[in-house]
Amino acid sequence: MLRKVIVVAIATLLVAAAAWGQGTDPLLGPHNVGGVGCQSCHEPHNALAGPGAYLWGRAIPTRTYTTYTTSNGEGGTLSTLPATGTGMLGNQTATISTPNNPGALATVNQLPQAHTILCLSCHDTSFSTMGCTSTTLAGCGSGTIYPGTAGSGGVGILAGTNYAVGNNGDLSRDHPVDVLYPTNDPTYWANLQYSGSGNQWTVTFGDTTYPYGHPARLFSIDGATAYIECGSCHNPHAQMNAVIITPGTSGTGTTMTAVPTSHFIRGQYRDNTEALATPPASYSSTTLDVDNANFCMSCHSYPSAQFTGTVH
Amino acid sequence: MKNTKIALVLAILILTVSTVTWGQATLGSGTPLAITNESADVQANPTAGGHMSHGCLLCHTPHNGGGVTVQGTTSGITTWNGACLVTAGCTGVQGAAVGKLTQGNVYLWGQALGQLTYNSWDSTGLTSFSNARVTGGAGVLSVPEVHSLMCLSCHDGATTGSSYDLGVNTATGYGGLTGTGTAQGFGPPGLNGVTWSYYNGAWSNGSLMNSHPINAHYTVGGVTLPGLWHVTINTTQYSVKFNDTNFNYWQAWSATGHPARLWTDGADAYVECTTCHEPHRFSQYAYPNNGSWNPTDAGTWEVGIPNSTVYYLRGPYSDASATTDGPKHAAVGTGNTTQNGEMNAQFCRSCHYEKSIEYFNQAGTQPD
Repeated sequence: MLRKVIVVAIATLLVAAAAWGQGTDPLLGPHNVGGVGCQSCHEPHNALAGPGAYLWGRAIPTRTYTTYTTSNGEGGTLSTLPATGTGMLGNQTATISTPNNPGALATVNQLPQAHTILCLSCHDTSFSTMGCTSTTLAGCGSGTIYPGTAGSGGVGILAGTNYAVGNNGDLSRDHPVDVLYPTNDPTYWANLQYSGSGNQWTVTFGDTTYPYGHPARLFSIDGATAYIECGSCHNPHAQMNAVIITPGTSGTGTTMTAVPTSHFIRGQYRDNTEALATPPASYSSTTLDVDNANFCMSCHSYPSAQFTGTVH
Repeated sequence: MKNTKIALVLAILILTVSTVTWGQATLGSGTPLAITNESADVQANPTAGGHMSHGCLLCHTPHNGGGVTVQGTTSGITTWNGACLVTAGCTGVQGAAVGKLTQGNVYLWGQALGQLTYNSWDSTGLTSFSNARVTGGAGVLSVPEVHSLMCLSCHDGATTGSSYDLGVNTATGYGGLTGTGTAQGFGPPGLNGVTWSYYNGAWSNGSLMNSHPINAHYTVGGVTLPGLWHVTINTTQYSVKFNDTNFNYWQAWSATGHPARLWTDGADAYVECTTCHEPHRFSQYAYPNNGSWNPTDAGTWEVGIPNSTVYYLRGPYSDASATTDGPKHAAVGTGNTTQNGEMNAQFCRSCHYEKSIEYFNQAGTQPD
């Protein structure tokens, strides 16, 4: 009897150890590509050239994407940063001109579009990375690399033949990226706040009426305009965890709250279709629709109860 | 009598075997310093690099290390009689060091320091060491940048012939990069596919801008920068302590603490090369936490991966991609993909609070 118990215990341990050893990480999830942790994207040495380039460890193809064009005519195309020559990623002393800050010397992390292009360096299917093959993520190591299965699930739950966004340079079916947050449009939140100096700015929403808070991150290089990028909605470092800042319960100040999320979204967002290894306890809530809509409304004020229609 | 003879023979035999074994294992894989597991090229050419090729003498000199001529060049170490210890590097005039010789109490450093002015990731400069920076009676302990400059005295690419450079001034990076095309990072060879600027040689001399920031502030005005862990600076002993002692390296392991070592000038805490790397322990980490030490654990992290680290990192780290690393990963086998990404990520998170599970569990409000 004792022998059986020992055998079962050992077998259990082996199975558990094997399962645990599949390169999982409670925060990175599928971004723990091949089980290498932060090195899925970053290299501590000999990373992508360019000051402030987040020590990016992956190649960025030179290409131009077709993006969604907004109702006010923004968007349409997005070109990657120059890979060689005098571009930001090829020369540490390059001078970068941006539409809103021409001629200003900037580092890569200060460029709004960098927070889209770095994402696309993996997700546009042109990547060439360790353990990965062809133009899909299918070969990237063992275990569940990406939620969904081929042919049914993609980034953003779009049906498709692979898990990519920006495949063949096509972003026309995706939420607009590298476009200005339309502060002159009454259907969006007004009163953006800028803090910082030079090319380094932090953008926050001045609104304090929306109880859900505004977890989206906008990017600015000039302290006057704010861009929407992939990183506006997504925090690539945490698949199912987010921290949001909401108005204080007493009507003053703010409160930081940990909330469950999915798809690396920066605010509370729950999607039971995502293949979660260890979903948070609150994940099975039946209030999914409300939570998810709240996240969208944190940028799009029009559908919210706090919409005033005031022309900015 | 017969038993006495047998015992005597056995004793002699044991002594002989022990002597032979001991004689072969003076710098063997059993020592924390040993680099015999580092990589295949190191194993194939152990005298060309690595921290243990010639014992402590590779970096330190027991005499003449302070303010007088150091018997060393930028390209190798020469012994008291002029013999070259690092064959591949001894291309210059023996004893005629290029750059500034070590001066003062610099850990009896046996290499010339400050050969270049470096630009780090955030464009801040890192210049050569100056004794004027030494404050109080703590010697170079109070000069944070020394703990990068000493590393760069070998790894900056100015050490010709070495294959262990960061490649600042050469076309050969640490990962053994020699050509164009798909590149290798400094870390696990072949990990990522950067297809240009894969070594720092594409940059101006002294550029470290595609390496993790060094000589970088962890605090400003004694206050931790946003997104990092709170620390306490000991202004008399020139040490830095993470206030948090409960950081759990990962869920399946009970040891806690922050393996990284920050350096201070008595006012602020800084990140240097040796914040992440402990040059004296290649694969066997050991770091203090709350009055005790967390040494390399016995057993295995997971099936086939010994409890260890790689690349002289101060905390646990697994690297299954380096399947040619020799005995360290021998049990893993070629093509292994079961290394522990959580463990590796946690090493980074032990400094980067905002990326840690604790950040989310604490809703971003870490206790002091």
